[in-house]
Amino acid sequence: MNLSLNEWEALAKKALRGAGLPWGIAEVAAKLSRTAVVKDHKIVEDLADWVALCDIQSMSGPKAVFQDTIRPAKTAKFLCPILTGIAIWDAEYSSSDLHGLNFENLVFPRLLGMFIDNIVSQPLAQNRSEFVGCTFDQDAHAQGNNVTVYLMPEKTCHAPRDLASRLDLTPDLHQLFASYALRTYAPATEASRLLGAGAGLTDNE
Amino acid sequence: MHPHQIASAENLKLRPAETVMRLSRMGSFHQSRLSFMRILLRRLKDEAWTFSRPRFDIDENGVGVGVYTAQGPDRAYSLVAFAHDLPAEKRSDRVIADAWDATFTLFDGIPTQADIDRLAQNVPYQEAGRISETELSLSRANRSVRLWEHVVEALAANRQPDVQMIERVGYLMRTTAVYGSGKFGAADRESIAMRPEFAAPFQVEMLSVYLTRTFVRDLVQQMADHKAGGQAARLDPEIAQQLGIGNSTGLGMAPFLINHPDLLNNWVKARETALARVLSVSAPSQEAISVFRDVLRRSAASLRAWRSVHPMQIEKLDVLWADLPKIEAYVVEKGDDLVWSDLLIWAEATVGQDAQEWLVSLVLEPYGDLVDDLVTTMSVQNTSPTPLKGRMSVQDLSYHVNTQYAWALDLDWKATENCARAWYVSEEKLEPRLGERFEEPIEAYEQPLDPGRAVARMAQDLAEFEPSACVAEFLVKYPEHRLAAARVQGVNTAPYSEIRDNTIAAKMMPIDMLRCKLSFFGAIHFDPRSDRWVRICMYNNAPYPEDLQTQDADLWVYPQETHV
Repeated sequence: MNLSLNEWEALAKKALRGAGLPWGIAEVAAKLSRTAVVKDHKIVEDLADWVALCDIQSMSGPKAVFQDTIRPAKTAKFLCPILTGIAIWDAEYSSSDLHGLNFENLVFPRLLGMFIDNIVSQPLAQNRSEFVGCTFDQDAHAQGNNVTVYLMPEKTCHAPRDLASRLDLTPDLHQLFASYALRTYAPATEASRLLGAGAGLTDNE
Repeated sequence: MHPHQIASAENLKLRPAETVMRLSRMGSFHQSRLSFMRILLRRLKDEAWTFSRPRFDIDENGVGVGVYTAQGPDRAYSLVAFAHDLPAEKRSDRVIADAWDATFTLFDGIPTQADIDRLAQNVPYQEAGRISETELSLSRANRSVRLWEHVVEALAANRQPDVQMIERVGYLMRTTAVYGSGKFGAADRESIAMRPEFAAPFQVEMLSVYLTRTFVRDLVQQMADHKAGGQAARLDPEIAQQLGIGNSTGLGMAPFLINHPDLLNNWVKARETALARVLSVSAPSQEAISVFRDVLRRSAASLRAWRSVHPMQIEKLDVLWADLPKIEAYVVEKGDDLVWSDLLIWAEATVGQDAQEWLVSLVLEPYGDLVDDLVTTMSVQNTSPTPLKGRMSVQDLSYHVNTQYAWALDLDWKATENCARAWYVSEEKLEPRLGERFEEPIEAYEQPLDPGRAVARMAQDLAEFEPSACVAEFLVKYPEHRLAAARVQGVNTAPYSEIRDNTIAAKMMPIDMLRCKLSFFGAIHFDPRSDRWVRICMYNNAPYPEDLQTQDADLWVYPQETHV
């Protein structure tokens, strides 16, 4: 399915909310994902895996920011890349703050990269489609890993390529995101249809 | 020196958001020079756009396709219109409808037959179909059955339709949704936002509706011709010009204003800046006063012809109509000594909000040279989220909460009447709805459209947090408050971005939000059908494309008294 980026953002926002994120965080992550998904389609796959993981694993945002190592809250097994990404973005980290920063038991680091991309405004690293301007020393996924951010030296960067303005989503992935988005919709009832809506039922005049 | 000797920009005093952004006032806004329909028509005329109808294949049942092309200096756009034979029982303005009298898309360029074939397989199904990045909008319209049949019958009988009936209804078809900005596969706004013709907000949608009006006029004539075997009367151009395109707007527009705070700020700020610029003209010229008197007279006649069946709107109209003679008398009394700032101060003390906001719109009219450049400030181009100022202290954030949201902190949020409603989206065609929190099982699905309550809740947790800590640390502990924190910081720099009223109160009127947005579109004669949906008319009295170069493309919204 070929989606406009607006469609993708709307779908992602609702799916992230459906997976349990607060609205304000789902909204920011979905907006940031607009450009991330056309740079790197693996972001879409990681987001799909992440929403599915939300139902079965304990994840949290960081216990604290402004630390050399960012750790999950005590109650959680894994560090959520989106809550963590928002936290370091909100903490207004500089590029030098980020370089060498460690994350403990982080899942899906590419998703953290969406936020780092917006902190580090460097062009795309050659042969590194994962993130703009940074890479990690581990490609942790659902199992979680300790990872460290390495900013790419400027000399290895080159000008950004022209980015597509659409997103091709497989039917399976679309269905997965739609199933989480569905959690944000109230079931249709006759009372809701009659009382809650914004137009008359018969407009044949 | 500027010809009107306005105060320098830094000295302009804008009306405070605490005054302007109250729901009752937003629900009293009127169209103005900065309304999107008027912005579009001024541009089309200034740039001498040309129009053609390369295709119009409609059969005797009113079924077929029409293509209308608008050619600008650099690009062409085509309305591809599909006309359908809709059974009466399927005619509904609700989002949940699945068939319409006519369906449309605005095509980026001139469509080939292959494009039209593809669109014919999708556009008639609206949300159930798919369009592509070569399409800019998707819309549909239903007939006003009474007026449609009357006009077809009259023309087929070789006579003109009843003018009073035309005036009473105002449109032959009403749109029930006009989707743009990437919806259902259409091109994203950012892909076209750099084109000058789409720099102002909602220009794609306004162009689509403008061309739709012409299609509807042509369609009704075609139906009459078929009925009369080609012997029908031609619809009188003066009558045709009175016809607009109706619009039935429900709850979907209300969340838009809350979900797009930067856009709301830019719209209102442009209008308030325009007002401040005009009020700073200390000695209006005789020419400016003359233009004002002219539009006042014409607009007053239009207001007096405004009809509604809704008790709340009837009550508002009674107040507005009672205020009109007072304003007219004041203007006569002041004669050539009229001063805009004095007029507005007098109005604030003497007439209701509806009349006050009407005057705000009217005093802008003589000053296109002061006002129209503000059009360029009304859009939001950046699709990226605005970073939070996370290093701001909790103490400072609390200060902004206390100064910007005092209205929300003063409310008892445990009181049923203050949180009686909840906004949600139904899984039934994703229709936005407003429910009763304590009577329906909807709270789990609530949309974040209650900024006042959200900020009040955040304030409670802020009060317990270390004041010297930073906002980023606060949000690590309370990520659920991020939306509220972002809104508070946003309001601090964009004061018109927030509605300063409770949007989930038992007595909240969603139509106030609808009117605010529709006034920026350029709508007049709002006709609420309940507290949550409203009918309006667009482009009444506007010149048709073929008349754009010879007629007034700006003040058409104030018809001469014979055409109200």
